[in-house]
Amino acid sequence: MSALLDAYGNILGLLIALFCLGLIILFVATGRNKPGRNLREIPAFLRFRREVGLAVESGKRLHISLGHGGINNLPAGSAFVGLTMLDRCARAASISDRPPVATSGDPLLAILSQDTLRGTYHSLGAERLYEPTSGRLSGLTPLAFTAGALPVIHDEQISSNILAGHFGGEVALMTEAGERGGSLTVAGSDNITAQAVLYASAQEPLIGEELYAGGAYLGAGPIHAASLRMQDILRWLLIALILIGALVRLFIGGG
Amino acid sequence: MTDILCPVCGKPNPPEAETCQFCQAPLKTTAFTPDFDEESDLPDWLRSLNADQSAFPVTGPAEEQPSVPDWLRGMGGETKEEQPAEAPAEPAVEKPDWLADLIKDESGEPLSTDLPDWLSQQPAAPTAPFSGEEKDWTADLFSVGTAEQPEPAGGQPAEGEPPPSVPAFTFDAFEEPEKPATPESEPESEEGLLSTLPDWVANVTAEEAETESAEGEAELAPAQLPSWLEAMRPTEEDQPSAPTEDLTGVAAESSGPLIGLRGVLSVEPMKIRMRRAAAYSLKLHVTDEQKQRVALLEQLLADEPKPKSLPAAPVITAQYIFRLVIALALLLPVLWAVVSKGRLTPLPDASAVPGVMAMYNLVQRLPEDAPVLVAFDYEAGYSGEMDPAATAVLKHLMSRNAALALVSTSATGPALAERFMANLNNSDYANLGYVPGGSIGLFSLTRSLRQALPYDLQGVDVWASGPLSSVNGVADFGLVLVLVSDPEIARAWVEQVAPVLKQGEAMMAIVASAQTSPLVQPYFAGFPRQIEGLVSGMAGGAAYESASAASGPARVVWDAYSLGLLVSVFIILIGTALDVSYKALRPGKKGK
Amino acid sequence: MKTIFSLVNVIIAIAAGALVFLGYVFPDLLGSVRVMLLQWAVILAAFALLVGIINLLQAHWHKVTTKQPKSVYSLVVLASLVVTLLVTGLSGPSGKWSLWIYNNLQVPIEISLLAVLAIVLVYVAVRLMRRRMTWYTGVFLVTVLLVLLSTAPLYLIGEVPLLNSLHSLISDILAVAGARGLLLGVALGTIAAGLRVLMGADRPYGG
Repeated sequence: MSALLDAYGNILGLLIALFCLGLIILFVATGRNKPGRNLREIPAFLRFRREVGLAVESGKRLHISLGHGGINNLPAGSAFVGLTMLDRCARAASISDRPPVATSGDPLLAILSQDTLRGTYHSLGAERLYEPTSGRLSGLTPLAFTAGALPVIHDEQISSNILAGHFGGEVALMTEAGERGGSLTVAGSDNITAQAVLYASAQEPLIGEELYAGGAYLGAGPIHAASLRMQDILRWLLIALILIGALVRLFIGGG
Repeated sequence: MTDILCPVCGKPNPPEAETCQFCQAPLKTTAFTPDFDEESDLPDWLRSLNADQSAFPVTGPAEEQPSVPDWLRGMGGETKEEQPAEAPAEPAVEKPDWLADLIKDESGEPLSTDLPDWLSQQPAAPTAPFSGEEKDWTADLFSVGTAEQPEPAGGQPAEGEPPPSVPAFTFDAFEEPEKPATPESEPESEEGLLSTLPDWVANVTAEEAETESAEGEAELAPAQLPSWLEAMRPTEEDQPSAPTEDLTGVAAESSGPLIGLRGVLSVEPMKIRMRRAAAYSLKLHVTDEQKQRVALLEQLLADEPKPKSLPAAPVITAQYIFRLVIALALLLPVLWAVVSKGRLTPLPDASAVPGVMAMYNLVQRLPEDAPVLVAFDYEAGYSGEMDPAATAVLKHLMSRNAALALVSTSATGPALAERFMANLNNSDYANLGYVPGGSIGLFSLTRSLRQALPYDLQGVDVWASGPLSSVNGVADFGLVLVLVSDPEIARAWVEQVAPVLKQGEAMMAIVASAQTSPLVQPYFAGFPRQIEGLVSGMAGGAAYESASAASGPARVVWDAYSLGLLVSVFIILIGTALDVSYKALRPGKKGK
Repeated sequence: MKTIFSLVNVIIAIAAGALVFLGYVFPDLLGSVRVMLLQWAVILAAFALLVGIINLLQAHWHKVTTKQPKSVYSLVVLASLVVTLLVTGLSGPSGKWSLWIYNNLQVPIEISLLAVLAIVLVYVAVRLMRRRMTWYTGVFLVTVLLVLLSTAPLYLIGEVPLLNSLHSLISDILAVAGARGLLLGVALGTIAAGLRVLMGADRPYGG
């Protein structure tokens, strides 16, 4: 089995990618006729939508933190999800007196957050809302990034904190700062340690894949919903494969 | 006292007022009584009208109610019952000269003042409107009242009913202004007048009258009103009342087309009181109250785009004090343990930790002077845990005279490595510096080590000579030791570099933070192993010190570490119990 | 013009992503292309680091010049950046003064932050039952306490075999299994996110 995987692992990877791509396209095509597909209720996103509205009404601003993962590493997936959520937040809060602010711990992510904000405001015809300091690099190391984000949470009249990206255990400092400032924290990370910390410290944690469902729940487009369905199918396939593999190993044995 | 209604605007005014308080029109017609004695520049025709004002005395029927003016009486046309039975006689009035002039014939002699029969003849009392009889509708049209008001055909008007309408005036007083000079011409009869109309008009008129009368008789049956509508019928109190002002004492107009009428505006231009229109200032008068309101509105508009600063939250709260208590409860025992330098807690048994023994054996099996690549990929903040964990391993390696090559995929890694080695008092190493790009950098490291890291931090080419000269790639190292605090970095090293190490005899081992251990453990516990040794956190370092029988920083802080863990457990237990009890005892308060 | 520009961005992003991915699948055919693109990415990341530092400067400078509250801390950041740049530029990254700044400022500050983190985590654990009073929160707390007790020998008591067994059970089996499951889910989400970028549905590059 190992030899097989070593020899044909790359092709297998391509096949899996194509299969996933096909599923997404299929669900996009069929989902057009069924736009009202029900998604499992995730309280974090319900509360997130409400908090965006409250932030606009109260004249406060949103803080979206993208983590320190970067896009040329494994945590790139969570970084892209964070950028999608940043786009949705900026659209929803475009009528606010104070535009949202995005912090990140990676230079590439900081540039992308600025680009995302600029593109969002351009699509809304509100270029005047864009400020280069809205998407900022708050630190170059994880703890420096956290330390740089704390003043944003404390001093810039934040109504809600949306933490979506790659965070470590130090994310507890940010959630604690949010709680002391009376702001809501909706947080998700691809890091296991951070998820454990967020479960205990955040008002609305996103555990596991819930972070990656952010685009579908916030109305980022039909492809996000279709990719969510693809993830569901793939998850069940993986469960079946693991069970079958475990049973085969148990009863048949082998190396 | 009865108010006077203004003849112009109709609004009530006090009876003693002479002019309307709303429109300034004269209320008393005497005000407009023309002054005939005065010399005026009236045109002759108008002046003659004034002089002949007596030519048209207005007399009303004695039976009329005094409150109804004559002109009003004549309005509404004549009903069939009220049709005058006879044609009015020729009025015994003098014709004005101008009128006589108008009706002179071509020879200059005045035309006969005798009205033609068709013009003087009063229509017969119609039995019904649009009856089948030849109807003298033209006589109705032209018979608009005479000096002697005809009596209503129905006698006295019924009680409660308005008085019969009587034409206010007729054309009998007038001659037809133009008439062909044919003295011998006979007065045109009614039929003669009709003969002047096209036949189709006359026929249509007669036929329509016949048809409509027949239909009217058939269709115009009185409707049965519903009770609620009957209830809405005006009662005697709702009957229109006569004008509030008694105009019988008011002098009638003596000239002009409104001659004989009372309570009207005089047409004589000079008799209308001319007055200058009220002058209004163009300057805007703004009161103080209005100024205040304008200022308030301006302030509201100016403040609209400005985001208002929100009130600051209080610094010292109950939560703040609670946090302070927990901090002190945790810090004080640990501080005491550090200061007291106690060695009361035994180190963990290395044999009970598989990864530690594997690491020990791995280092022990290394040949002398073996090149070892050490990756410092943990953050400076984790130095408190990683330094004690890694010191024992590095000391063991140093005791084996390993040629250490230091590298890092973190920007602050090289400085961290320098600090670490300085604490070990070791200068026999090569710090190759920072590998950018994360996983991509590791990939390039595995492809071409020398190209990725050509020099060390001092700019020395370590690959040219020295213990690293035999190393061409990562697979040529004896051991790759990764010091890591982030599981993602550990995974990147294992996935990118470990497969390449299999090509040679190199092995990989990890010293990880305690938080990373559960995620790195499978790489050690799996089959085949992808890492050959694993030291997790301070406990792993202490176990390694126990295995190597060497004293290190783990032993120094071991008591404080153990006490801190125990105190944390107690704080969590007691604090949770207190918090839950507080919430249970105070159900009214909203818990967070 | 902007439409053309965004279209070009999308084409470049999709082409680069597809080439790198196919380079992994067909290393013999597209391996060199993949390596070249990855090296370009590394260079871009280095420049992005410079841009990020400039952005950091810009944000704090704006705060100082507009006299926002607590702008004195931004002034400290700016001064620290300038001093560190000068010192490191003059003495080198492993120079004496550079290491002095690192050892005496950065390391203690970061260690202190982690110490604060430890206190925050204890406080959060205390408030957890109040925040979420559910049975699985109780399981979570019990697990935390067991791991804390079994991580190291107890003060003045030493090792407790039962706790060691529980520690092995939790950290080697339960935690690993749970972490593996979560990581699989994260991997699926990462696949979906990557495919969305390859399809051009997600355009974080301003397309």
